[in-house]
Amino acid sequence: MRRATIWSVLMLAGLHPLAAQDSQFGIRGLGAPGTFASVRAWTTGGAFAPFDGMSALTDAALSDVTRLTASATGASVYRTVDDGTNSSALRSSRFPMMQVAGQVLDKLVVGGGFSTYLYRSYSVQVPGTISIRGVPETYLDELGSDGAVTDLRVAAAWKFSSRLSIGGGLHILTGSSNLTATRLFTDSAVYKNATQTDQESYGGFGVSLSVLATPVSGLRVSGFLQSYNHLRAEISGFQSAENELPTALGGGVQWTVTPEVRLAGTVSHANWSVSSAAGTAFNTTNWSVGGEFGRAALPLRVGVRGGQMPFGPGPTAPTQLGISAGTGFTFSQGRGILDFGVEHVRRTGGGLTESGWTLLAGLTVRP
Amino acid sequence: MLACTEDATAPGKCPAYCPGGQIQVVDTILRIISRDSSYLGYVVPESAQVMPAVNAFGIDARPIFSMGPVGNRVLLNPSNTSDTTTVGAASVDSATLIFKIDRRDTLASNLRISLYRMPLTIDRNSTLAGLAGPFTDSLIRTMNVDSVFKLPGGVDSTAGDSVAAIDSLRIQIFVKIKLDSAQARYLAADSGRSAFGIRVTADSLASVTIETLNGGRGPTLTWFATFDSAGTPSHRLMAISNTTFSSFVGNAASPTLDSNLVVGGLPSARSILRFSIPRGIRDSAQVVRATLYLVPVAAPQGIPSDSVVIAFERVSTDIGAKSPCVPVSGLTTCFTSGPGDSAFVVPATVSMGKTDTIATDITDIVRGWATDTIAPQTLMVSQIPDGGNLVFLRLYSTRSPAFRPALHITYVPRYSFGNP
Repeated sequence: MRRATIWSVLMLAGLHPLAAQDSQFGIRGLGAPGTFASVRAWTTGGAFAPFDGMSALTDAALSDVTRLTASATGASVYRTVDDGTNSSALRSSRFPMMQVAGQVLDKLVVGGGFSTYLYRSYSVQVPGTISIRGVPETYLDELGSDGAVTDLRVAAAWKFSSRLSIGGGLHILTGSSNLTATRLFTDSAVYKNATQTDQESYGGFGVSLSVLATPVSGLRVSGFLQSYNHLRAEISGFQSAENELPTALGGGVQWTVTPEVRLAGTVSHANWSVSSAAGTAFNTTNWSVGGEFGRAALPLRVGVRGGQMPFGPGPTAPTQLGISAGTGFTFSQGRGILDFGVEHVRRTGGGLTESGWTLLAGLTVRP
Repeated sequence: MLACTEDATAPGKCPAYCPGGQIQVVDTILRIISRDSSYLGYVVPESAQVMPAVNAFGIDARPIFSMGPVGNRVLLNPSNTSDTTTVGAASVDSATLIFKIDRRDTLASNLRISLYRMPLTIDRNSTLAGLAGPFTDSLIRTMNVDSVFKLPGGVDSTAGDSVAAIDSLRIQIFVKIKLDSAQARYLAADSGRSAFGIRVTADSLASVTIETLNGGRGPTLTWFATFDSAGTPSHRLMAISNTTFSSFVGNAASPTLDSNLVVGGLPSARSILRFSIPRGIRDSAQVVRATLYLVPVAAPQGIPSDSVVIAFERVSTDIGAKSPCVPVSGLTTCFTSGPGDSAFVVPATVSMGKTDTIATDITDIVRGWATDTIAPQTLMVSQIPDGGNLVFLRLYSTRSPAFRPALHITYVPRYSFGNP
């Protein structure tokens, strides 16, 4: 069993990280931001992410990792996009995050891994008619992107005392997308189809700082900051775009009411408006509230999250609301943890409604 | 769990929920053909795949061909391979001449084939005037092809002639003409060699082509004789003679070169078109349609059914008149019996008596030049089959600015994927 779980982690690690929550709201912008949350934190609406060592939201939370631990997340998304005229059912299965952390010194924990920073997978079909050689010709354009901007993180947390930890991390943005643009003419006997494919690669750099404190017994607070410089996009070795990236600030509170009742709330703000032209990108504030109930070996997790999406066509930012639930259980004398969850998300804005279910599965091993 | 599956395609609501930028289409006419030229003499009449036989619209073309020598002795016991004893023919009884008509006008009625005996000296220098005598006084016999074709099974049991269709279209036919001993006239002094000429007549539209050995199946002459088999006369096959020379004589004008482009005729002419596709289109854009426009100087004249089929063919290297074509994959030839690979060769049909601009879709060829950027952007224009028709086509070249060849091209410029 132990060997099987290790192999599972290695196989998960070898897979290219791709989007778990592709969204139509990211098509005109840089993409749809990631959650940086493990399955455990995700199923609490993300509220537990600042306090979860296997989430990538804060570095200080690594201080809770007391032994070598690896975690991977898988997600299957089934969503429906309705623009008022057409409704489409979409699905995707991705592996958006993997983290590894371990204690190096008595008070120092080092960790890292990858997580999806921006989801950039989509495919849209646009029909139309054009007059060529004096004859109207109907066509269907297919514009697609398959990939993501990935955040490779190396982080460390220093545990000053049992009540205070500080963490910091370096982030390298990488990843790529396979871009396709195809024009399919209805009269394919006369007009040949045209297909263009390119691979767009991304690059960027960021830092993160966070603090995790326990002012009173049972109450933990967290504050975090993530700042990235630019997102550079290159096609065939030539820079095709460079966009500023936001600085994100946030904080959270976790209250352990009893050993079997744990509650948390998180709020964050990011100035995404710096990334694109005015009117297409918006600053976002997102919040989440969640709880974990029951024994640690088999808990029940629920959560709610809400806020804004950074990109949309309307005068205001699109909004999103998600409700999630999940559980998990340990095996192999606590060396392995399997987490499961489900989330329903609804995003609205600019005449578009996107809703769907995300099925989550996570594996954590502590060999 | 370990597989990435995807179904992410949704109708786009543009521009709000579509990527920036649009796929554009540019449609333009380019005068990018230069150094076009014509060459003559690729296929001469004696090496053509067919012999034209025409007697209409002022054109008079008559096939002439020689049959090879045959002996008049056969194996006494052909079933016994160790017995090499031969026996001479007591008398030559008959012969059957079989040839294949590749093309004919099905509207022609009372198509008759007249077979003449030609002198054994016919060769490439023979002319219609020089053979006027034999074509006047050496008629062997005349066969009404239409009449025989309408008989049950296409067999004239009385005369021994027959006509058989090769395919369901009943255009290509085999014709068998039976000759008696006097008509066949086996001369041992000539080693059984013989030569024939053919003239066709019909109520109208008398025009056929007879396949030659170069086309795959030339005329054959099968000799039958009587042999003495232990005192009993035995009638059996003596020999089969194949053509050793085939050509035609006639009054049709041969193509000549001038400042225009010439394609077809006999001796056959070909033209070369050299393109200079702008690099911006060839390297960065995708051609979705390319039409080559050629304007005839004059309407081709000939039998209405004898439409001229010309081929636009990529060359593997441009060395002028002898530029080789790109062979069909797996073959040593450039043409196949079917339509072929449109990335390398494209046919076009030109109707008789019309001067309509010839518009040929060469999209796949132009796209092929974008794929293989070191390939010469050169097309060889020839007739199909080369040397298969007396009709030739004269087209305006780049020396005629108003009617010069042009390429009407529709392409999709490189799409800009936009941000990020």
